[in-house]
Amino acid sequence: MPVAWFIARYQHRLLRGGRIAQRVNPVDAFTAQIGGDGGAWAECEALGQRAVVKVRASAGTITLIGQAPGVTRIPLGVLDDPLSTLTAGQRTNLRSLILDMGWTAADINARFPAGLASVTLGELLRFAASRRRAGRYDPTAGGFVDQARDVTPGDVDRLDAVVTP
Amino acid sequence: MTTVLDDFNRADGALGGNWTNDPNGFGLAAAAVASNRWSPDSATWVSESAWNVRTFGPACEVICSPIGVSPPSGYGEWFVTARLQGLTAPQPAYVAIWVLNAGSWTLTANYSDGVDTFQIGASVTGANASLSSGDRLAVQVRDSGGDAVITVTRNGVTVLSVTDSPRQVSGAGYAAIGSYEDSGGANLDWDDFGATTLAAPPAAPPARRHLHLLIR
Repeated sequence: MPVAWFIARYQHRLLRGGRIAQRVNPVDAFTAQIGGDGGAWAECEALGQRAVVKVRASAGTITLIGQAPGVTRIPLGVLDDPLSTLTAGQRTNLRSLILDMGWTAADINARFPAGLASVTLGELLRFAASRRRAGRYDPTAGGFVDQARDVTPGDVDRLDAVVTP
Repeated sequence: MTTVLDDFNRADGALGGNWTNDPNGFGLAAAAVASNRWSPDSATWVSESAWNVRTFGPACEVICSPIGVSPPSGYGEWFVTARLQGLTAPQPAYVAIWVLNAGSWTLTANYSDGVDTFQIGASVTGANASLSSGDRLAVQVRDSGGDAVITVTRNGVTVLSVTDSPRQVSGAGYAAIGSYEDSGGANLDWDDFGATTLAAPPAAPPARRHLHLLIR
């Protein structure tokens, strides 16, 4: 069964009569459909109230997930896949995705001095998830936003081991 | 086996000194004993109560039983909390939340920092996520390496098991129950609350033993 990687921006719903906010992963909306395919999904929190998500599901379900608001599919499936196989435009989109998470161009250039074409998907995702910050619901922003406090980052390789083809 | 700490079989009125109202300080009105059950405040229909006698854990189980109209209707949320780290201010905890909305049930496991709530992993929907009067629910939290595993059983059947990786709440904590009902319409309360500290898993053999075997 196919597997795919996504970057998902957390969404929210309000509970207890609007007194608290619950942060939810948009991929959870597809849990029943993924289960119906005999698949699975798991997440690893990253910077910018984003999650790195790995999904095993039918091709149709994976396509639908990639079209969901706040969800971006990574156009490679295996951590060892080199980004050099992507088009320049696809690599630019990945760079924009990382910048949107809150990483700076200086961060990216320092970690990948030879450019994204020289690294693998695993190196990129491990970098993306190598830092995360505590979240707080901000009604003005309309969602969860990063706080100043860093918290222990997740583990992309554990995620890779949990969801297998 | 977790024993019942409070069956609420007493006269209607305040829960009593073993319970702390609104441990996270959301400004919730106190729950009460009503018809031999834990019932949320009857004006706002939202309350949360923590058993303040002692903490449980780090491996722990919280049990309780929904009681009332079955099946419930309208909109409602029911929550069971484990490893609550304090009773006087927003504190981290793990929380199982059942939500009934327009006839559809959702069950999630969550990390709470005492202000906001963060869903962990996939939700459960459908019959396995539902509550019926008389169900026996258990929420367990156990450590597994640097992670925490949250498991929910209903009438002895596991309906949800997720891993919080890395673990965000460590050590023992208080247990709590709560609910929110839209104008009381769902009419499902809590009964037979209990909690316990579970036995720790067997310790790994000491490193010296491994060394001994290697030498042999």
